Amino acid sequence: MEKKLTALRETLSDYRDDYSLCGKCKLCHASHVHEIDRGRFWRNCPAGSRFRFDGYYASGRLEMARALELGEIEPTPALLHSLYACTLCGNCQEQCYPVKQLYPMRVFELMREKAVREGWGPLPEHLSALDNLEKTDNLFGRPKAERERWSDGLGLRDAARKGAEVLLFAGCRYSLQPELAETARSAVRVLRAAGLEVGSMGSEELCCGAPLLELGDRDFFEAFAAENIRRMKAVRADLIVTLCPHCAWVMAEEYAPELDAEIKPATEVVAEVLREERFWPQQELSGKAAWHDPCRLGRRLRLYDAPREILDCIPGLERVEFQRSRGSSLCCGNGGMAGYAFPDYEEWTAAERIYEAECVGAAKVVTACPWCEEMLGRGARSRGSDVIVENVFSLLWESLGGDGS
Amino acid sequence: MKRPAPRRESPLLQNARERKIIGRPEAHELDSVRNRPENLERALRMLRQAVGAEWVSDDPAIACGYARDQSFLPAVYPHMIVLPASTQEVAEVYRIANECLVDVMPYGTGISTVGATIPMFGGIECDLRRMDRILELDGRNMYTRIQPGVNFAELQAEAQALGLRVTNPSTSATAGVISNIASCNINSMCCKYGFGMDNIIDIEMVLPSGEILEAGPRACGMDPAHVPGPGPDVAPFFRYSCGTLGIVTEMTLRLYPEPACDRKFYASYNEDRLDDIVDAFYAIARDNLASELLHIQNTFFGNFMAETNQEAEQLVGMIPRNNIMAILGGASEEEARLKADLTRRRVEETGRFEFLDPDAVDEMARAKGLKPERQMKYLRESVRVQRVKGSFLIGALVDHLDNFEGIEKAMRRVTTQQIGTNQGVFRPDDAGIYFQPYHMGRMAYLEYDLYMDQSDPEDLVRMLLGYFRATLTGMANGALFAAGVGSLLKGLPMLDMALPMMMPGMSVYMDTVSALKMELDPNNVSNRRWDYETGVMPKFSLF
Repeated sequence: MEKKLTALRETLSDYRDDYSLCGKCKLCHASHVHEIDRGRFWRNCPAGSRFRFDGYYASGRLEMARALELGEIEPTPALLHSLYACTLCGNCQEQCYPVKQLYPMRVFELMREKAVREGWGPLPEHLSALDNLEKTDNLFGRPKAERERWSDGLGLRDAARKGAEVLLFAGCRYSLQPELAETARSAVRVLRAAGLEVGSMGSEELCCGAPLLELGDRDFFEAFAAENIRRMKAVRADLIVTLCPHCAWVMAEEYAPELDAEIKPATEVVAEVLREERFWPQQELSGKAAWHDPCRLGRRLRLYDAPREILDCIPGLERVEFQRSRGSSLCCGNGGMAGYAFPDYEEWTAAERIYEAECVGAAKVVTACPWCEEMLGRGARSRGSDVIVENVFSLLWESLGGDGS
Repeated sequence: MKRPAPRRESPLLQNARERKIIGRPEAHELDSVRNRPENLERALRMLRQAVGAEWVSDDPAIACGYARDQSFLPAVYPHMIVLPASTQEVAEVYRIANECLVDVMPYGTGISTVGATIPMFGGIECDLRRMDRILELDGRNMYTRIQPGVNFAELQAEAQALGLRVTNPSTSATAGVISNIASCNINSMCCKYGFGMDNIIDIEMVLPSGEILEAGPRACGMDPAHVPGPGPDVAPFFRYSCGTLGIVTEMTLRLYPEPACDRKFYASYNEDRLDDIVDAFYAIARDNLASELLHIQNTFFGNFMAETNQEAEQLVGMIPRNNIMAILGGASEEEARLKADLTRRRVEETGRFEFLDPDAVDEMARAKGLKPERQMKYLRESVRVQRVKGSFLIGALVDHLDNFEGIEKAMRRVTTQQIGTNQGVFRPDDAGIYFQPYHMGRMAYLEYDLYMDQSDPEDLVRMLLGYFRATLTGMANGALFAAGVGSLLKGLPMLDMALPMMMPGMSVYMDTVSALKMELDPNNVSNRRWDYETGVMPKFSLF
């Protein structure tokens, strides 16, 4: 570890007001209910909707934080289960903050940090991910050399050796999951069509550390963050473009103070280019598509309009809205590393999102997050649904005349 | 990348833990008969068998989620929590509780400002949120049959799809419909349609003995007929019983049409003279044209109509402090406008009002970046802005409209000094009241809410003193205190003696209710408030 990124760390007790003064109005359980017109869609807490005890909703988990800090309870299996069943989607905070000024999600993040610090978290199911990160610097335990294979034949500039003005940070999932590689390739082609020549660190790229932060292992996260920052500084980029919203989130919230470069999610970069009309999709696509707001891109980085603008530029594509959208978007179920420990419940959550897509008449669910793509795809399969899950860059590249190869 | 070793817990905390310096407070007294450890263990086993192990928990971390609400009462943990999924399972919970002599605390959605679901003696917390189905929604005959886990958000959305609406709650839309309606359901439409409790057609209820009671038309196999059934009507007897007489597992209630168009009506006045308002209320209420009619002062406006605290503050600054607000609905714009004009003429005859042009108010709101259409949705469907962190104590009086002139003046003096602990959140500029006629003006309801910072003992004392001063002031002037607390006050030291002194009929009434409770719940397992042997509350609880 080179240095601590956060000089003064927050602890759970810093949020005493938040967990003590929750009035149990239960707005945190819900979507913005005045925007829904089907009763079922009031629910917007994946863990609470599935496990039902109040302790699985923010209202009950805040109470756990209070009891834990006062020593009323010891860490118990149910506490750990509830804590890591939370997808950290942030809906609770989105609903609570405007009316009560409380930060429930931050409390849960700090509860996780406390759990790891004191050695009773995370769950055993998460240990393989931690092992992989320790041994291979990526979530999947794949050899480092494999990290650059996704870009074979694209002729990306070797940013690690030659530097680059624009650095593309692909992230573990796009780099190492073969089924997502084509999406990453489409994104590069779209960025090139927009006139941006991007470089990549290839096998020198490390995990951004977002999974560690989500698990509560801040010490381990900072080891990754410090090394990433060192390598990124060496690239001397003016702009760092991230494909995965989880990477974008940690870089914007944690890395940014240490870097001179601007950090932007790829959707934002492309939307800006479209606004300037530097290029325009021509190929007509068909069908109704609903934009699924990834939690880190939406609630965390407040990027709601840019991806919608991209979809609106694609001729023939009719954009429809989920009932739970923007700040009230339902999580796909794969956030907060919950997918590692509770695959069935996360698939159940994703299936609910696909059901919602069917209700609003969408033939496609479009997103820009590899975690969402994976989980929503599983949800669609488990429902036997005809809804197709697509990445916005694949659609855009197709509309720009790309053949997808 | 090497993973740093987890750091150890601070030695101080570890030491304290080992020596049990800190730990879970002993919230439950060891009773010689009830909630005995061996019986609790047996009840847990039986419950797991009855409803499935997944839906029963005795884990302290899960239990703590049920230990507090928005009241100032200290945390009390239930021993175990059960989530039944059907009426039969609720009956099974009671059967087990009786067999093992374990307390049962019914829990609808857990939104309470008075500790209504805090399990004072521990036992079984019966969380009804798995029973969350809308069983029937008849658009033509305008009724719905629901389970206790259904909340207003869900029911309102489904009813609106059929052009109908349920009487809105004066609380967040996540509140359970049955539990809210069973405790009256104050709503903005109560001048025209009554409180929610007046709109119950029939119920299905599990009595504490485990028997299932059907009351109302359904009891004899009739369709929900909007009349009490063959009689005698026992459907309303659970009202205000707060789980002491059993658990309502199904309820049929009336819905009302959502007007296609509506027109807002604001009559404001400068001077705090409630007599003017009362005269105007009588006039408007008897015409019965307004679907909603209420007097909401300053901060209440923000509460009811805003999306965020910032919006609430803007709204409060925009609308005159003293206001009568009515909403006139109609099948067309013209009809709504005609009703509004008629209402204005009525009000002009009664006092010194100034009339705000609703279009101008909307325009002004838009200029400030507010969304009037959305605000109307909030007003009509739920309260969103709860504005405070911390505890809340609701005060409410019911009396004839004209009696409130004196009551309000006296109460204002005490409440004015009490509100204002929510620094930096939503600053109330002054005390405000929520006042509205009920049943075409036959009665009226007045609400005054007090807030406190739970972590400040001085604030608690200040609030409680203020609350009792306000309430006793109201009662001394003849008003009925928040109808429906009888079942919860029985056995409360001093108060159960003081109340009959203030209301002489109260002792006979309480004796009847007590006899009913003892008959229906011979083992006193359902929301035990007082001991049958001694007649007193073994553990202090305000409500």
